[in-house]
Amino acid sequence: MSSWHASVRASVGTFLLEVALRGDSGPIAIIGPNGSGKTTFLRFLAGAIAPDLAEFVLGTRTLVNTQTGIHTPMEQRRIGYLPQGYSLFSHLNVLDNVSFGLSTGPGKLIRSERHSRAQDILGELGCSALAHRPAEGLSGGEQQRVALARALVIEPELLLLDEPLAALDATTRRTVRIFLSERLKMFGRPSIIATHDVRDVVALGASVYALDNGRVVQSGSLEDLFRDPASEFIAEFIGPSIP
Amino acid sequence: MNQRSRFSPISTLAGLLGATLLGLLTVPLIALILSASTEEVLAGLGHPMFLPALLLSLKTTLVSLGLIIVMGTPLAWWIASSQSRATKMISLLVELPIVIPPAVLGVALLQTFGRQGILGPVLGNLGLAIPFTTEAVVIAQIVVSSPFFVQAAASSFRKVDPDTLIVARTLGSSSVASFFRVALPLSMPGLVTGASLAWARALGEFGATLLFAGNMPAETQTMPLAIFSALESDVQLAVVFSLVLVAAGAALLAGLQLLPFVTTAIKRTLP
Repeated sequence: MSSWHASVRASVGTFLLEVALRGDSGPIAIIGPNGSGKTTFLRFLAGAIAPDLAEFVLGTRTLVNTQTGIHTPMEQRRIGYLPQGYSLFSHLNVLDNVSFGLSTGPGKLIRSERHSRAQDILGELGCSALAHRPAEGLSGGEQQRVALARALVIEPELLLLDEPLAALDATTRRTVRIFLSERLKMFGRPSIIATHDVRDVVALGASVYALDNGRVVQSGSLEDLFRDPASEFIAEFIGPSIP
Repeated sequence: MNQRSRFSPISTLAGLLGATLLGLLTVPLIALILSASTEEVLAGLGHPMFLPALLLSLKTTLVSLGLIIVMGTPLAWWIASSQSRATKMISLLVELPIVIPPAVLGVALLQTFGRQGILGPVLGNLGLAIPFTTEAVVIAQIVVSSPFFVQAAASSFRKVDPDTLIVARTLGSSSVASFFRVALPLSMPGLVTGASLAWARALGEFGATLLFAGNMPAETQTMPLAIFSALESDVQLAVVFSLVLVAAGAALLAGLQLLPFVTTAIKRTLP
């Protein structure tokens, strides 16, 4: 069973992120108001933010340790990242988007092989028909699946999802939430999802870290947070009862 | 109510002002086109001054454009992605040649590369003399036109979603590879527009070239300088040379307008 832990102090402009989180192979949900540091933390894990002080261990690999000078480059971390809005490569078609991660680094595959692998994963995610469509013009739900396929194709050891359902309309969100929770269960590796919606936490069966102003204000199961919410935001996030 | 507002004094005045400007922009071009007959155009194109000036213009503008792209792209990327305080200052410095008269830039270039200029002794020791050479034409074109490319490229690079690059990196792409495989293709329309504007500006460059490179046929006499020379002896010849530059500008503008359609068509044909 793979586990991870990360403690970080990082300044981004005037914002200070100072948190310590840990998890096992199950999903972790990060909640918090806008500007609480959810995206900053995910970007730190992905390697896009240089911390002042940090340690990040994923499984048996120490990816960051500022005290010993370890800072693994982003391209060597094997972390899948789904940003808000999915950030598909709009100049490529779906197949090339999904196979992008197989065309990089020392282990890159030949074109036919990476397309074949990309087709396989698109098939697994039920969107083979999209393969030759341009990334531009896909619906929100389609983009989400393609972005997930693109992240999963490199077989990441950790998956980061930044508000993956926020860009979807209510109906699509329900469908995609079910799809996502099934996929993350099949993924069987650690995943961290930043969300504004308690239903995502319930669907994923995730443990929760609540952030506010760059710090962890509470952590535990949704039930723990419901019983004794540490802030008004957490109480409002969960609502009068757990959905 | 709508009928009344359509012909209100303010909208009428605005319409007149707009039409006046439009007239100022188009009437001189129409006058230029109408001032030369086909025979005069053919005679002008056969004039001994024409071909060397055209070839020199094409040669120098292509070289300057190539150098602008090679040097300007990394600078534009740095301006677009750097968070440092120096960025704003450097961005302003890059834009400075746009607001400085070309003649002033010509004098400044002489003060830099001329025999008495700040780099003069160093260049002299190396046996190099830049002013009044074809190289001087290229340098003048780079100085006056590169801001158009750098500005457009930086603006285009700023529009690239940083998350897109983060995703590319997490997918195993190095920072350099991510730039070439993601940032550059996504910014290509802006870069092409910037390069076109820079090329058009270089093609039309006159003041800095005249002062820094002179007006020597086949060596530093580009098309605008050939127009200047022709104007002294034969106005019709100057009109014909001018029409060639109008045609080049119009072709460039048409190309830019067609670019999105061409790009879409190419994307559709790709497997």
